[in-house]
Formats: sequence, C-alpha cells, structure tokens
Amino acid sequence: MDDELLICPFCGHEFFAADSLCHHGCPLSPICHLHRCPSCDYEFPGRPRSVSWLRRLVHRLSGEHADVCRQTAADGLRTVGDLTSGERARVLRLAGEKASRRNALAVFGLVPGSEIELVERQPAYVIRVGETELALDAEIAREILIEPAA
Amino acid sequence: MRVPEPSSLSPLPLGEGLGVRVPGFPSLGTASALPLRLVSATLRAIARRRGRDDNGGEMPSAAAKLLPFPAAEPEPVPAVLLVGNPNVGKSVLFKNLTNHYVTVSNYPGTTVEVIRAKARLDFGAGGVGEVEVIDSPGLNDLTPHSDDARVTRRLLEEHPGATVVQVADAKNLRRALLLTLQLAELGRPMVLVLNMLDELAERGGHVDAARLSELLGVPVVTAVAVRRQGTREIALALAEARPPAASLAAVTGGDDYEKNRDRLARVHELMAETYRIAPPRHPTLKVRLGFWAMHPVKGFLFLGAVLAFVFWFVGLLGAGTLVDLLETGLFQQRVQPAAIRAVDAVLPFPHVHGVETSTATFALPLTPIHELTVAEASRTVLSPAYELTGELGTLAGLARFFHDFLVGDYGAVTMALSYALAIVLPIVVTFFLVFSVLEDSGYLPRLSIMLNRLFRLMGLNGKAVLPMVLGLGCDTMATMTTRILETRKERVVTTMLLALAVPCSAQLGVLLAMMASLSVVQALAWCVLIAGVMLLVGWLTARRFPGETSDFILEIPPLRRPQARNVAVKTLSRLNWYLQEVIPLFVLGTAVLFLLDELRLLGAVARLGEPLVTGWLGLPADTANAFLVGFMRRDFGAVYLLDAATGPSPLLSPHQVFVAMVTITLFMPCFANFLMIAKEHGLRTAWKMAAFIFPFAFLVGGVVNHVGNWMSGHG
Repeated sequence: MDDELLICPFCGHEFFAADSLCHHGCPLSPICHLHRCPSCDYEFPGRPRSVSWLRRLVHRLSGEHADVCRQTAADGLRTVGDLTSGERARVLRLAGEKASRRNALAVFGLVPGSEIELVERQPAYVIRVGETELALDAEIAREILIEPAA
Repeated sequence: MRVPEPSSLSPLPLGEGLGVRVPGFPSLGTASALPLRLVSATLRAIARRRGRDDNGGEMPSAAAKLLPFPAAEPEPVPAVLLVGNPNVGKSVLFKNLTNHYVTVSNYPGTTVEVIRAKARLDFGAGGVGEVEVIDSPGLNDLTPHSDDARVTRRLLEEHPGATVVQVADAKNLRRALLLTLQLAELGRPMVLVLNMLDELAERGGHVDAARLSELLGVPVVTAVAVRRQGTREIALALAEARPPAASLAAVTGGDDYEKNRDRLARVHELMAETYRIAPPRHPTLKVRLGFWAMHPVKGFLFLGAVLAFVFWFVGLLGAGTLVDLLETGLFQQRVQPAAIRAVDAVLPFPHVHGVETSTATFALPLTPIHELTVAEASRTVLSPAYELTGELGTLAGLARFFHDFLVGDYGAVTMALSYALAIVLPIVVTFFLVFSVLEDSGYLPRLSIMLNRLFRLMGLNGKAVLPMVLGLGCDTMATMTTRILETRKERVVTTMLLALAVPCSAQLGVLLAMMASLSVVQALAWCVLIAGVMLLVGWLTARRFPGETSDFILEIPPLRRPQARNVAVKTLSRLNWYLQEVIPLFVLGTAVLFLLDELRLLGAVARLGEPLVTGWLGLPADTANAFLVGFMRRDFGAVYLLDAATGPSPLLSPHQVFVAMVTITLFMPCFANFLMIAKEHGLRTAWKMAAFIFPFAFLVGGVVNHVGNWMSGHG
C-alpha cells in the first residue's frame, strides 16, 4: 500500500501513500485509513481496497500507459533508451504514467517536438535539450518516445 | 531541483524570516547564536506539531519570546522579488544589488531559504530610492502543484506590490520564457534580466533583447552578473517595470503538463524571432573537460585525479605540513612558553616547570611517506608539566587552580586553543578552500552522475551526493541542505548517513593527524570500513524505510573557472562560522574536563566506562573521557584520543588507535547536529537516530577490536 500513488483532492498534489503526513505519536496510526497531503495538510480517506483493485484493472485495460507500451513494442517505436551516443532525435511524446514526471521533464523544455541529442548512456543517460544538459535514469529515458530528427 | 515543502517536514515556513541561519549559508556574524536559535526553532517545531501555537496560547514561553518577526507586516519600502530557474545567478545579482553576501555556487539549489536585504538604488531620472530585495530559491515551474513553486508563490502573495525581476540564463532561454509566461498570468509588473550573456556568446548564440522586450511588453536587460555588468541598468529598468502583454497570459490545456506544453509552443514562436545560435565547430576545452568528467571511463580517472589532489592538499599539506608548522612551530615553541611565563608571573605558587626540546620542520609533502624538508627549527621550551617545590597555602592553592585552568594538562590555552587553532584550523581552511573551488567549477553535479548507481543501493539517487560531500565540511550545514531532496525517505536516509558515517572537516583533521600513527594498510582499512558501514546501513535503512526514491532528473551546469574572489569570500565566511562556533565549544569542553579532573571525577568516569571501553573495545580506561566528550562534539573526543595516540610514548598501540578511530568516527557529529535533525525531521526522529548511532558505534568498534585481535593471533 505504501507505494500507492495518491492525488490530493484538495490541492492536486501527487504523492505516495508512504509520504502521507501523520501527526507524530498518533496512537491511531496503525488502523487509521486517512491520508494527509504533505503539501496542504488536507486529510482525506484512502480508497477501499476493492475499489482500488477495480480501478487498477480498469486503468490497466483502458490506461494510456498500457496502450503506449503495447504500441511501442508493436510499431517498433524508439525511445531515448535506444539511441546511441551522439545521435539526434525529435521527441514524439512522453509516455510515463506519472503526470508529475512528465511535467518535470517539460519544464526543462523536453516536450513533444523538441530536438534532443543523446550525449552518453553510461553511467547515466545524459541528453541535451537546447543548451541544457540533463542527466536521467534509464527508466525515465525509456519513457521518452522519439522519432528521427528532421 | 525542488525546494522542500515547509508544512510536512520543517513546520517553520521558509519565508517567515525563520530562526535558523546555518553557518556558511546566509549571513555573516549570526552563527554564534546558532545553538540558541536551533533550540528555539526546535521548540517551535514541537509546539506546532502539537498544534498549539496555531490555536493560540500554550507555546513554550522561551520559544514565544524568540519568535521571529511577524509574517504579515506592512511594507515600508517597495519590494523587488528575484525569481528564476535554478543556477541562473539570482544570488550573485542579489549580492550586486545589495552588497550583502550570500553563498553562491555553480550548482542548482544553493539557496534553500529566502534572503532579504535593503538596497539603495539609483533609478536615474526617478532619483535614488531604497528598496527591499528578496532572493528566492530557484524554480522551474510556477504551476500551483509544483513543489518548487511553493515558497515563491507564498512570497508573491505576501508582497502584493512587489516588482518581479525574473533572472534568466540567456543560453537557456526556452526554460526562462516558460517561466515568464507563467509569471505573465499573475499580471505583476516585471523586468526580465538576461544573465550569463558571455556564456551565450561563447557558444555562438545571440538574443535580440529589444525585440524580445517588444514582444513581451516588459523591459529586458542584459547582464553578466559575475562581472557586475548590468546592475545599473537593472535599477534603471525597475522604474519602467510593467505587467507583460495580456495576450501572453491565455493558456489552454487540462493538467499542468498540458498547459506547460501549450506555453512552450508559444515560447517556440517567441524564440524564433529573437534567438539564434550557431555552435562553434570545435568545442572549447571547458566543454570537453565537462564531458570527460562524466564519461564512464575517463570520468573515473577524472574522479581519481580530483581525489588525489584533494588528499594531497587537505590530507598532506593541511594536516601534515601546516599542522606541524602551527602546532609545534607556533604553539609549542612560542605561544605555550609565553603563556606559561605570563600566568606564572600573575599567579605565583611554588613550582618548577619541566623543559623539553621541540623540533619543528617545514616540509613539502610528495607522497604520504616522502617529503621534502625545507627548513627545520629546534628550541628548548617550557612544558606544561611541573613539580611542586613547597607546601601550598589556600591562596597558592587557588593560584594553582587558575594556573591549571589556563595552562595545565586540560588548560584553555594548552589544550583548547592549541587544538582548535593549530590542529583543526589548517584542515578546515584547506578543506573549505578546495570545496569552494569544486562547488564553483560545477564538478559536483558530474560527481552525482558518476555516483548515481552507488547511491541507488542506499535508496538514494545521485542528487544526494551534494549534501554528502558538503557533510565533509559540516554535517549540520549538510543536514539543512537535505531539503533539496524530494522525498521524505531520501531526506531521512541522507540525514542518518551524514550523522553516522560522514566525518566533518574538523573531525577529519584530527583523524588524519591520528592516521600518522597507523600503517598505510590500516589507514586504507579505515576508509574501506567507514564506506562499507555507510553502504550497509544505507542499504538496510532503505529496505526498512517505506517510500520511494525520487526520479533522477538533474540539470548539469557547464564547467566554469572558479572566481578567486568568490572562492575567497566563501571560504572566509565559512571560517568565520567555524571560529565562532567551534572555539567556544572547545573551551567549554576543556573546562568540563578540567573540572572533572580537579574533582577527581575523571577516574570515576573511567571506572564506570570500564566494561565497555576496556572490556569491549580493548582500550585503556582513560579513553572513556574521550567518548564522554565525544557525545558533545565527536571531533573534540577525537582530539582527546589524538593526544593519547601520539607523542613520544603513546598510550595506545596502532591497533587500539584504529579501534578508537572507527568508534569515534561513527559517533553523532555534535549537539548542534542533533538539534538540526530535530528541527528538520522532528525530535522523535532525532532521538531514534541517536539511540541507534551511539550503540552502533560501540558495536562496530568492538567487532573491529575482536576481529583485529583474532587476526593478529592467527597471523
């Protein structure tokens, strides 16, 4: 349950259940079903388990992430993980499930249509967007779908 | 780079001119009040956790008195808010505008709190006026959900009339303009400063500032802040600050990501008209060096070279040559005899001091064992040890008491000052110097990339390298810097590892001096052992502690040539803290030891600690005192051990020195560090950490002792 991704209904902050804020020393903590947003302190009930299971199923069937993964495999789409050092490419889309992660990349100018160059693959992926050099984990690099540069 | 949310971890909101100023960070001259401020901050944090002060009433009175200025006060002078992406030079500009020094480094996230200062600016036709300049932490995204933006958004709310000065890195115009568009939606009067124009030109780029100003509808000023270019123009532009064109503010899209995508499309249009870049065919040496520093093979060679240099400079030159020069040459040969003579003249009682020959050498270190002797000086000097030559009356007894307090075995001059100034100071100076150079060069983010995999094992990522390396300077300072990490798990694990296994420069100095009595193999074994303990404890904590490791998305700044002036000022400001923070504590610690010795309690303490110290660690009972003061400051405990480990007839064998070094290294750094942990993570977490760290230190020390004995028995 700790790795469940929650979205605060009050302020929209995305956080993991484990980062949910609790009052120190609250005796109820083991049986408490409330989550407290670390951003705005708003307290809200967690989803009942069955619903969360159902939701996950629905999400898996209709979710864009599964879609994209299937698409990647079937259409032979390439990701930054497939580039070789020094190769240039254009970003097609960011396929990650977490909107916050997509946005974290977007603020560095990494959005569909932007041109990138892979600087190196080891010890971490380093890409250049404009004059910004960004180091990324392999996991994130594989979520960036690309097409050949114009 | 994200700035921590004030509400979850540090209940003190960042913007409220909060009570904690950490040495080396914001301001000069406030550091000596650190412990007091930390206490007040901790009390406040606890009070707020219990939800008391928010409901009015029952705050602890000490904390209530020390509360900083109220949050909402009317603005007597117009405010100027510096906003911008991380590492674009906001702090340098702040310094230029206000002449108020703040720590400036070449990595994102140096400013973790809000800093304000008044400045008198010449507005040209508008005359001369006073403004309040506010420096804010860097941010990439101003959307309401972003962690980065929380502090800045609050500042914007608190200062409804403030002029926003957006500082932009001219060569990263795309990201800067994304922020400009987000700011445009607020409709505040603003000025855009295109900083680092020199670096843009170096890369063959050009920005049409006039056209950009026309398109945005706000004044655009170009600047090279590190060379103080453009400061005057900014003051002039402030008078003409206007809200950006309304057409820029309209955005379509659902969530933050879609909105930012839409904004970036507009940015693209703006840049098409104003920005050109024609990269030079051959990359410059700086660019190539920056590339090597993160290459999978060359990067490690580079790292090896950097480490070798740091070791030579701090470990050999600082801890060897300079310590010898200061300790023997200055303290033992000049200061100590003079102090003894002066005290004897003022406080006479019948006694005769011993005499010894002391030899000081000035040698240039080549390798750990070879050195080039340049000069040598021998002198016959008075030693603190003395023999009584007659009966002591009451008055003479009193004289002896103060004599011993100043220049006795545990004297303020002979022990506290000579340790603080002669042994620790040279190492602190050399370390801070080297660290400032590394910071300003931009090497540290590249180090993050090299060590990212290793840190993954400990449930951290490469971003935690910055606090860890800073911890080698001061663990308390580094504990505060853990705020740049994104998840609670990362912050707690890093804080824990800092407190456990990263020796701060003061302690490092003493440890390096102790290493002189070890063989090279033992010295290496110490390094491997401490690194191993760090990895193991990190790995276990990461398994046990719930939560995620955040994404590793790190911007790499270009390598820059460190500026001598900035390096010097930064080193001096940290030194200033060191002198104010450490010397009083050293004197206090020595006084405690002296009183215990006078009251014949040292022996009792030694007996009390006997089973642990003698039985388990296999050390002489006397060293129990070292661990006793080690609870207060571990470097001071180490100093005491150093005394036992060196000298003509050392108390400790090399094996014992090794055991003692391992144990004292793993102690919690100091009381201030404990308070800082309590402030950042709550008193409960701080106690838990202390309850783990101290027994664990003794456990590891004992295991090392027994394994060492067993090995020598079999070898």
